[in-house]
Amino acid sequence: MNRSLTDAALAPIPVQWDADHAVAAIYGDHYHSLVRLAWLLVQDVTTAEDVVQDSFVAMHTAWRHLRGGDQALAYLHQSVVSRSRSVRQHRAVIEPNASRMPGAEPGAPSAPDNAAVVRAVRLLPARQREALVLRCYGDLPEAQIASAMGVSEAAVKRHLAGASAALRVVVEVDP
Amino acid sequence: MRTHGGKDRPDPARGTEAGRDLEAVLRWALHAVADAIEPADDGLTRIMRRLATPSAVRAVRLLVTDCADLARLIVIWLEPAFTWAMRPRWRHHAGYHRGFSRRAARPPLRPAVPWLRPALAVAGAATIAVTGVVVFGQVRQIVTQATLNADTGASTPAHAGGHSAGSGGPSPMTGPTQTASYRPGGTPSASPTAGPSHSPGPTPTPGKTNHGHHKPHPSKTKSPPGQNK
Repeated sequence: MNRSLTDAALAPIPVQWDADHAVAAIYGDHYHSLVRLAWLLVQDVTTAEDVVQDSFVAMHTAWRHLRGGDQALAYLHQSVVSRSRSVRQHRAVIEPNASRMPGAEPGAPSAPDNAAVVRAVRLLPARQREALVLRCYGDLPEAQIASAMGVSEAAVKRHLAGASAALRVVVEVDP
Repeated sequence: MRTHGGKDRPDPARGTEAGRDLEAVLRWALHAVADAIEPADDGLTRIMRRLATPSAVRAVRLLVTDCADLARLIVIWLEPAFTWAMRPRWRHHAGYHRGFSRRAARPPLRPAVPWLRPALAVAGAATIAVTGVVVFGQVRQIVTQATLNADTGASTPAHAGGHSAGSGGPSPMTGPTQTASYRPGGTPSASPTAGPSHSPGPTPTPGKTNHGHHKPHPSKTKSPPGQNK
């Protein structure tokens, strides 16, 4: 049920499908993976689900401009990355006052974030984190990462190199 | 794999080249942590529910949410300024330091910005005054219009000059049957109600005076005898 994010080529979606069929098919194959990808970016399960559901709604709206499952999945990646970025920017404004906002639950853990690697990934700059998550979790090639992030492949390589350099300091790998 | 957090993990990439180890470790770690996340099962239902909602409603809902957040942030940001401006400040005077007088024991409380309260009071009074002037002007205009409409609709000459507002001022002609009336030129003037002072025309605007083309008022001109009764 939960395929990797790169399995879209193995299950092409017919172009003649209507948007509802496409949403249902892509949901069944990729929803969980996309939510986990979004969770790695926004660090909150509920927000990650909202981000992915909004992306599906946007894909449904834009379905007639998409030609098949590959483009739909690429659209979803782009939408998830973009919306996650918006969430982080919104959060950067809200979080300094989060403890004073109604409904705030300070210190409530939203996910099992006790892994040191994930903590280190979360400390990365936003673009480096996006590139690293799309590369290491999404298993996407650099061209698709560049498309999802809206940057060039050279920029993706630069972000990945920066992330690796930063994480190499944190994570010690035994030879 | 060993992390700075001190937590040992089995390393699936052990034995590979060091250059690829980091990526393999990261890939394994991210999958290990993220795959434990289980989204809710009603995702498709929620997507379909969102699709069923009109996009305008969704946009308005998002806008309202963002505006609410913004309003809360503005309140939070402005709160320290208000707190600082209105905080009580001990008034230091000689008796307070010297000692034990009753006044020194209970120094009066003053706001940190002493001019703020008078300024707020003046601003409030000015706001009320301006509002009153504007509202009164509009009410007066409405009453004027209503009166003139009533006058125009009525054919009784006695009602023709029933309005006394404007720049007409007191008339030099005094008498029990004398009222002020508007002329088509817009200048109110006094005239006997029995005279032919009322003439239908465009509704005059109070305060609008045709200074450039002043016509002599019929009531002030010398009329042939027998016409101005």
